[in-house]
Amino acid sequence: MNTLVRYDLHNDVATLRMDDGKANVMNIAMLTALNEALDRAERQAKVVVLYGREGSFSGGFDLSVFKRGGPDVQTMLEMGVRLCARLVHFPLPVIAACTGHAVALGAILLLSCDLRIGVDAGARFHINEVRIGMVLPRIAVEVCRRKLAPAQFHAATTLGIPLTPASALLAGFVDELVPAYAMKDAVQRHCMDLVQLNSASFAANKRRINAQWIEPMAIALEADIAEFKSFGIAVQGN
Amino acid sequence: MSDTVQVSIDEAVMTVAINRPEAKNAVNREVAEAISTAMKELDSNPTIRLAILTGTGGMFCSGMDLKAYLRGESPFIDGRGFGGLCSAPPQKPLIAAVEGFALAGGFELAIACDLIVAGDSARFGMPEVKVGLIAGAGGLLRTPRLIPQRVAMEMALTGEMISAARAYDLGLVNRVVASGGALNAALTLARVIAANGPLAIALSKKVISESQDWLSNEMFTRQEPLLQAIAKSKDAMEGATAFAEKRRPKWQGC
Repeated sequence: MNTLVRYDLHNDVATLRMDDGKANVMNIAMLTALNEALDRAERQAKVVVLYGREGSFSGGFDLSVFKRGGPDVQTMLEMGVRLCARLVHFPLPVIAACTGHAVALGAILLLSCDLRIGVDAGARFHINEVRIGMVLPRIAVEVCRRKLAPAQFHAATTLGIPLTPASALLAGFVDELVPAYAMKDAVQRHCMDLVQLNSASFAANKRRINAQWIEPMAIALEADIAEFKSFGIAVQGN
Repeated sequence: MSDTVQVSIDEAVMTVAINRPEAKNAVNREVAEAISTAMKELDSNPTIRLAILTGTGGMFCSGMDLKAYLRGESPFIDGRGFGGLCSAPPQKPLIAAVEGFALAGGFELAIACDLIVAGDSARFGMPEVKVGLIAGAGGLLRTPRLIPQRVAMEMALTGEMISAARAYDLGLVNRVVASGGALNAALTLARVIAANGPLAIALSKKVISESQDWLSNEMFTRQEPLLQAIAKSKDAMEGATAFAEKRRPKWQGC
């Protein structure tokens, strides 16, 4: 049983606690665990909570996988972008309990959720790909463009400017800020609220609201996955 | 003497940096004595206008060194209080440049200063209650005079930290800059202050700091001697003259 994501079902709420003991990096194991947990949640729950660990929501892709190279790189990248798409279109409300840093893919996953609660201190919101010589996946750009406030979108993505919790609230990374000790209660409050939503109505509304988004995201996803295949080849060729 | 506190002077601005990053810049006897000595130097040296208090290694100060305290080292200096500063701040202005944590005694050092510049991931707090202690080095006394009482009460009773952004909104912090830039920003602020009349800045600090306790019907009377001192000073004359002559004043400090 995978311990990277702890799954708890209680009162129709599925809580997925990500905990790799460090930065909650998105490697194949973590992404697999998340997908399996989301599969269960889709069958069993009415609301999903994606919970970070103390100090970190997610640090993004596992950079050590890039360093090692090989076919895992392509697999990890593809799983990561597919997870973004999955969360964006998820038929149940997804609450993100952003307990700490949200960096790179971690920030995109956060943005992909329906309701985001962040800690009011001790967290960095950083779309840092440009800072580490990487390029944002196209699907990540789509998510950012739609979820980040227009005024902050450009600097956050193009320049990779890190944001504090207060700035993150303005920028649309999070919907609400709470002190760390109050996160659990805030999550519970929102769960009790959202669990009352009619699931069919929620899913239909979300599809309609996301309608204009579906095609651009699908195109972006395809282009990203095609590009990742070429990474795999290039890396293997080294 | 080891370098647990680095003191440097550059163009009338003294920088006092706690340098025990391996101990999260905790205050032991040596640190308290070094700060005390620096404060004496600050006030007695006419070429120094003000000082900046900071910590090295991206951390301001995590408070009293508990291990040292248990060994019998007191970080309280006679007549000056915790860290050689908290009970008797200097006459001249002090700016705290805060990165990382300013907690417990570290928080109390920061608020014993006149101005605070913080990096945006800095955090401030009085966690003493979590270990059955109280913030007795000025935390409980100064905080409710600096920020709304109920917010001070929450900080003291919960022992929880607040962010630099919150501290700025509360007026506890004067400026928030990108993480890592607090010392530079403090230096910039210091140079603006250092360009002003030395007697004027010292007496302005004195009036602001002390007049909180002056009654409304006597506050002008109590201010009068200080006003007189300024009015009679050479620098007041020089300031006005320089203004009229459209040039920079040359201060003498008297």
